[in-house]
Amino acid sequence: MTTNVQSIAEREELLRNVPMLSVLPANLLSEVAANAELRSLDTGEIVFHAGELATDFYILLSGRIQHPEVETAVADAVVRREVTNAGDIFGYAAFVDLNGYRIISATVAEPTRVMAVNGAAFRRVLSRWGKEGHDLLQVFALSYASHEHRIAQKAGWVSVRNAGKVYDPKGKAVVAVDDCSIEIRPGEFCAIVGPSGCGKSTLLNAIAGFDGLTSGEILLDGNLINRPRMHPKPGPDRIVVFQNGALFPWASVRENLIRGPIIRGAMSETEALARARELLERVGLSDIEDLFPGAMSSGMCRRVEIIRAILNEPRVILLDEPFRGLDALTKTVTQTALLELYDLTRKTVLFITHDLEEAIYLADRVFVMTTRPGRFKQTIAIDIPRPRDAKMLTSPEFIRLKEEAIEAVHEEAVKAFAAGEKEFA
Amino acid sequence: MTALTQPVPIWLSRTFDNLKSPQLWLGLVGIASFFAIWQLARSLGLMLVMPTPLEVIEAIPQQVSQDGYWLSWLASTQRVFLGFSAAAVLAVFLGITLGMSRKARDLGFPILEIFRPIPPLAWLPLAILFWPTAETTIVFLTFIGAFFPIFINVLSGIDNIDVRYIQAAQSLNASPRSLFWRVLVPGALPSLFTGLTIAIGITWEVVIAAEMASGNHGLGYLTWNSYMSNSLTGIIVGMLSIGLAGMVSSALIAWLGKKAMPWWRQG
Amino acid sequence: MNVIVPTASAPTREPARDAGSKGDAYDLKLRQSADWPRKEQGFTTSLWKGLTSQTFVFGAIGFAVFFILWYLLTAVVVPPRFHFIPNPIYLFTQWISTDPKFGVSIFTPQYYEHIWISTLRVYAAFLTSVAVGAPLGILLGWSPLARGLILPLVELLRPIPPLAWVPLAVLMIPATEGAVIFVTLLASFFATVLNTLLGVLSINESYFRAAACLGYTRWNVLWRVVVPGALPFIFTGLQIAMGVAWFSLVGGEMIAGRSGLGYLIFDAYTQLALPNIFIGMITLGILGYASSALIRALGDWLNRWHSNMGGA
Repeated sequence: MTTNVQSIAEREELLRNVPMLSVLPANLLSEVAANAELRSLDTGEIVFHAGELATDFYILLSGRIQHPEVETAVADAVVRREVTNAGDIFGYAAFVDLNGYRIISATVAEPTRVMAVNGAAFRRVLSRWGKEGHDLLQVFALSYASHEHRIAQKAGWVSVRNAGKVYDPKGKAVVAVDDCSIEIRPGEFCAIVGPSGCGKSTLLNAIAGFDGLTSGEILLDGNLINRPRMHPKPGPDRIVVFQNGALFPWASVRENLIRGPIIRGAMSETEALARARELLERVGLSDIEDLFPGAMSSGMCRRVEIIRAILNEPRVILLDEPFRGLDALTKTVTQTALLELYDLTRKTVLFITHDLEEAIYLADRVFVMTTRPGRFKQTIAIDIPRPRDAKMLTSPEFIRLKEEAIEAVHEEAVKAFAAGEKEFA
Repeated sequence: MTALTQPVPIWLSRTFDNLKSPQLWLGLVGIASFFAIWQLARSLGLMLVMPTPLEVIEAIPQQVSQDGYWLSWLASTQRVFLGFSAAAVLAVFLGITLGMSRKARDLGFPILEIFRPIPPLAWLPLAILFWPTAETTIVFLTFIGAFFPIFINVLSGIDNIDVRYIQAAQSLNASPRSLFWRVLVPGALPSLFTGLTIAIGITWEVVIAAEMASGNHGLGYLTWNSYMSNSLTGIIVGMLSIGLAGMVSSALIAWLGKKAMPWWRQG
Repeated sequence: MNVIVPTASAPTREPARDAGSKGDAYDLKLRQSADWPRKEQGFTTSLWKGLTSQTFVFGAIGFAVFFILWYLLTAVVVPPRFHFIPNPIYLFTQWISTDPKFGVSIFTPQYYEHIWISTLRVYAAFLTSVAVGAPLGILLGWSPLARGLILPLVELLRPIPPLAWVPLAVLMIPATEGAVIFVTLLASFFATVLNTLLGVLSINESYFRAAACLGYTRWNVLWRVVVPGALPFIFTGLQIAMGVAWFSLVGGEMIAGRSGLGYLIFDAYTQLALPNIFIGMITLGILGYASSALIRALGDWLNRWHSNMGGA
């Protein structure tokens, strides 16, 4: 491999010829170019191995690249066995996954020239670009998520494509959600932030299967779970943790936790009990089995509810502003508990909140939603390593990320306030 | 310039909206099946004692045109109205007094609680002995029937007024009079109307029973009369009239409630 | 005395980071101690406090005033019409006498026969109406289809007072006993169905959604969500149904019965056996109250979780 040092302008020119990137405004394109490198590769060279840390993604300028692990042509797969066209992109892991490891390798079939672009820098550039940046990131995320699901057999890939929901009370159409698209990758922790009444709960209900859509589709692991004129069904593959808590108040903690798996036949009673106890101890709640929810504090109830969700081994866990009613101190404890459980089980998580700090603290990616009608305005990738703890709340990185988003969120909040939005919409 | 189309009056368009609703059709199906089963049972030879729905419908005009029919309505309604209003006035007064003063409550509540479980009809013989005329007897019974539900509901209404409203009014320097009329009364109104709704149902029950037992005219007496003369269609027509009367009174109370409490969203 | 007093030597709390493991144990113990600690009191002290409290004293005064007034109006200064009402002393002595003038006192078997018959009828009707009404109410509450079909019919029949059914019932049902029970049943049936329906409707939607997420089958949803969730409301309804049952029973017995407390009262009236009227009324009051109290106690015990709600 040889690295040619081109000037930024030349690199910019090359990048402009790539169809996907040509839409970027000039200043952003220069920034991408500043973080890009032109490389020439010889036949037989390995561009990257499976299992390597992914830092750059690549744009093919000429030549041929092969991915040996990929099966031949699945119809709509973006990641194919061979990359042959100029302007094609490969090595997606770099810009959708912080500290991600490659799951496939890339080898050179004939002399090739590629542009290597730093993934983290690219993400930062896109997040400054607002809605268009979000849309572009989604295109990449879609390709990678579908690919990851097929190759790495990871479950919990949620794909929301142009979802829209219009309520029609007596003729006055209310657009709750309008043309929303996101791709949540298996094992990713995503957060949606927005003011009250912006439609985030509506979107979550559509993903969970409680509500229908009037346009668009939602897929889980490639299977259609919601589209217009279809009655969606909720199920244990997408468990929801509710805003005001939905632990059954007439049942003990033990009963609440173990009944689900037993009913589905997934675990025997002893197994369920053992696992439940293990998780309870993890978050510091041993010995509460016999208590009823009415005798516990809200923080304890929420933690138990999260454990109940995990115990049922869903593909996705959906949380709808679960910590909303808690006081600040309890909230911190409960957030830490959630993070611990996430690190332990690495399930896909979608977390809805109005609190930007909470979202940044917990998530890998944060989506900012506008006030009604709800659309996605911005995507922010959180480049903070896990495991996280409360100390990072005052770190410069955190503050920088917060600054990125706060203006967008605040703008929407002011709009919602002016429109007189009621809470719990 | 395009011609202005006449807007359809609201009540008409609302009717059309209701006609489109599946709820209405479902309900009609349910009721229709009930009548169908009734008719069928008779045709099959079961329940020969009962008239068929058709016979009842045919009998209605004949019954209604009889002299006593509308007089019965008048008599019963009069009794209901008198007893109910008297009960309402006294019950509201006592409810508010006992609700607001701990002393009054401790004094009076135990006695009232002792009397409350006694079914109103159990008072019948005593009332007959004590009151000079049959009319006053029946009105008294109606009063007893209506008094307790209204009283209990007013009392619990005052109890359940969120103390924060009172505190808010006090911090705004409200005079006791203001506090009473602007916080306590509106706050207790929903419970009052719940009590009134329950009481009107009980009132009708009592009137009918009292008329059956000791009456000279009224809807209950009418029904009893039909029973005595073994006219089942008469009985059923009587029952339906009573039911109708009950529905109308409840609707009246509900309408009054809406007028008195424009802020109240139910359900 | 076990009052918790903060002292200088109390250990400082761990920082928020470890609160998950240690802080909540402390939280837990506090909550498990049923209530905040209070001073223990001896039995006689609490008894004395109860007896001298304003509630008790004023209640006693209220009672006393009532009885004194009653006595005055019926034995001392007797306005017209009041001579029909026996004075309380006479009543009480008749009630407890071994040889009552009109044949009914706590020592006569007839008294208990009447009580037994009435109670039997009420409970037979009540239990039947619950057995039929509660499941129907649950069905109506749970299935919008059933509700749409059946509720309008119920609402149409409901305004007809149960006692208006007496003539029809007597003609249709051969035994008078059956007719009286039928009317009582009808009354408590409607109350039960309606309150059960409301109870099911009052269950928060979130619980149904959570059950769906957890993969509960319909059977499980019924027994683990609908029934426990609606139970508090159902028991309120049962208390009302019980009251209504007594009400209708008395009416039925008066109009068409040949035994029981309602009949006793009416018969006493026709025979001018005045004390019996009162004895009957008071007994009815006591029985009615006791029945409702029984249901309330049962309900409170079954729904212990309900009284603790508030934190979650």
